[in-house]
Amino acid sequence: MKKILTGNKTAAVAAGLALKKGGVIPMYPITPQTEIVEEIAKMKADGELPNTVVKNMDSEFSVMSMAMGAAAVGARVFTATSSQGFLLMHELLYIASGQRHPIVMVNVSRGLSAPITLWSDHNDFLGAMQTGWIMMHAQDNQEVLDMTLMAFKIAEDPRVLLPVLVNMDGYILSFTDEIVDVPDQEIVNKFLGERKSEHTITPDRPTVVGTPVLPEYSYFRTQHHIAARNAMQVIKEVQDEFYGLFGRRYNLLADEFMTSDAEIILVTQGAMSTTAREVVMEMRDDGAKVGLLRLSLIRPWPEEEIRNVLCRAKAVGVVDKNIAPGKGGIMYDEIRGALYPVKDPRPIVSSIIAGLGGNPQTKKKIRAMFEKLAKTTETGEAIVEFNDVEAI
Amino acid sequence: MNEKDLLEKGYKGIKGIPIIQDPGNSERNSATGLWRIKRPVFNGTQCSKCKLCFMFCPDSAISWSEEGLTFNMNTCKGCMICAEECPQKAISEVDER
Amino acid sequence: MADKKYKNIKDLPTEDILRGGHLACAGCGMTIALKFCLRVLGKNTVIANPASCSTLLPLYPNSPLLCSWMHNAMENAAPTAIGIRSGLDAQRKDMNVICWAGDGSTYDMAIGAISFAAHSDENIIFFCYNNQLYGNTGGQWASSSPYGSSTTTTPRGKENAFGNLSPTKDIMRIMAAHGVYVATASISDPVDLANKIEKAKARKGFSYIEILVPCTTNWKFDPRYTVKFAREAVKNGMWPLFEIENGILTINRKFKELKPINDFLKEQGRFKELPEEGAKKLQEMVSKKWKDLCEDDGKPIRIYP
Repeated sequence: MKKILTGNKTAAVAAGLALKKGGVIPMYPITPQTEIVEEIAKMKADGELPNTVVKNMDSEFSVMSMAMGAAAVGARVFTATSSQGFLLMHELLYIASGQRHPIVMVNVSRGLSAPITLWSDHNDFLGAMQTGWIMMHAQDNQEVLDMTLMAFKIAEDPRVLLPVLVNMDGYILSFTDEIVDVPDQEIVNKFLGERKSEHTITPDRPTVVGTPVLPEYSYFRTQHHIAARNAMQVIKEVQDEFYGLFGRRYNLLADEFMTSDAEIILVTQGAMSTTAREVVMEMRDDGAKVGLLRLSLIRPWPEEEIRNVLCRAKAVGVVDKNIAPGKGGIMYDEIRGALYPVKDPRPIVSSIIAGLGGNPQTKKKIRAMFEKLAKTTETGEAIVEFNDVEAI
Repeated sequence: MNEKDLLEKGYKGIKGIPIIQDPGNSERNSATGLWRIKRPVFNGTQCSKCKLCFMFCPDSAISWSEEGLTFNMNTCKGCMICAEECPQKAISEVDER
Repeated sequence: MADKKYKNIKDLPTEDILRGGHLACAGCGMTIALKFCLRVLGKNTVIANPASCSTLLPLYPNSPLLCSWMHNAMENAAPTAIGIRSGLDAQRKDMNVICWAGDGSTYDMAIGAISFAAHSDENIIFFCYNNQLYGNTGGQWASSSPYGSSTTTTPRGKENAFGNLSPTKDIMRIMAAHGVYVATASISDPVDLANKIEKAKARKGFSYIEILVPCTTNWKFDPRYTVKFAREAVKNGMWPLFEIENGILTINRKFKELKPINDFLKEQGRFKELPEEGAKKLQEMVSKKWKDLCEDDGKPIRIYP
């Protein structure tokens, strides 16, 4: 049924659908995610989550600890957080993925202190790329719902058994109303079923979870890596099954738009991609051969699929709504690395740092990015461009 | 091993997760008895069968049966708490060598 | 107050849930304490364990435990246990959920999270085994270290021969302020410990039980005296056995007169070289604490939620 929902409300609705049969939701408020936990609390108080334990905790650190404890005994777990809270649980992100708990977490991107800001930025979740979580990035509220539902299926697959992060841009998606098609509970039950696991603690299966190891560390960490890489195959299967039951098709590994004959391709992630797609359509009407690659899966890194989309372009621009001070955009090197095996002529890969701290990237600014990239095909030199550098 | 082979054949399922689902197996597998420098010796005539030694042994190395007390020399670390707590002083210590 | 379930040591259950072959030190007090607790709680138990000496009890691929055990970071035993309890409730399963944490984690790093767990009165028993220092890393100072003890980060030296100059944190009153059941226990008195665990289980809320576990490696004494020192600490007032139930404080082991602490200090490496001045000050602190405790015995501790 189509409803008008903000991004936050959508995340809460998705959690309610997935955990209807039972689960655990630890909560802690932080702007701009607070509405998610408020909505879940209201759902619980109205009796819509009869078998789910919903608990307010004292910090995000405790939220992740509680999520791990609940996942270790076989319950399905959902939680949500944002920038500073996400960083507070950083130590536990590694432990949660190392102990192989299929927790699903929605992160509402917000720029990091210092200086303190509330608007959106991707530094928070991209700083956790090494933690061993599966990371997906939503571009609109419908995707927040669909990715959260798919996340449970991917996480609990016995070939994966890893926690999943679904990211959405704060303010731009979290507080904006959009039309969202909310599926029926019966179809969601058919898609997700109940969580079954063999590595959890039950009354008749005494288990030691997360044991210390000595030389076996390398073995376990490698197995963890293999599971994360296997997730790409599982994601393909899950998105096909999702299409069959819900009617919406996704291409999470490489969401490309009009790239087959594009000379200039822009690489974006998050809500900016929907604006960029409109610019591509307008410029195509004017005859420019432009295309868009939207990164929807950050970990595991679909390097081959990305390479296949970008290899024939003349110029590629990687838009980073994040920055590693002292180096540059975080995704810039990932894309350059993906294109390294391509034989000459390789595309000229440029970096564009835009939207730090939530500065809106309008259609005019995105068009200007395409124009700058077009110039690189003439000069043959890559550029590193910064938007919004003046103090206002 | 190269990554391609690892990804195709290397995944071990739950055996690749750091859990232990064989409860109590350290008693069979882990010979902490090798740490001993003193060993306990039981004197049955002094014993009053109070079983305090069994209650206090940190390594669960003492078991009681109809015949009396036996030490699991595979896991006994020679701490001698049994000798200290015995009210009848029925356990004495000798050097391990 | 309910009749005590266990009257003497022969009444205690005898099935050992903690087996041998673990890697704790020979004569480790913590393993004795864990054995007593698990004998009372049984196999249907989940233990949330933060980083501490007990972390290395299971070491892949061997486990000495017949029950379940979950490792986690150093400061989150209590919220992990809340998660375990919630996960079991959501699936309508029941097991005993306990935390098995060291004093370093409890007194210092984790105290915020433990306070939260106590305030929410979750159905978990929080055991703190207290060896009065950070044992697993080699014996460093913690807020539970007594005045005058020497640890590797408060050693005796030319300028300061007293070692640690700060008193211990009164965690029992801090936890009691949350309105939960709190108790101290000692490995020398397993019957008292077992009765306290039964009370905690029956309460079905948050309970805090702190057990004194002498540490042969870091207190520096021969391993055979582990239980003896636990007994001495109770008799000389350095570790009084008391509980606070429904807001009323009760001393469980009363003595007409406390033994002086001198023998206790002389026989342990961590106290042996304490100058007489320091030993006198420590004796005054211990005697005052016992006197105040006797005055509060049987009286309510008022808490205003």
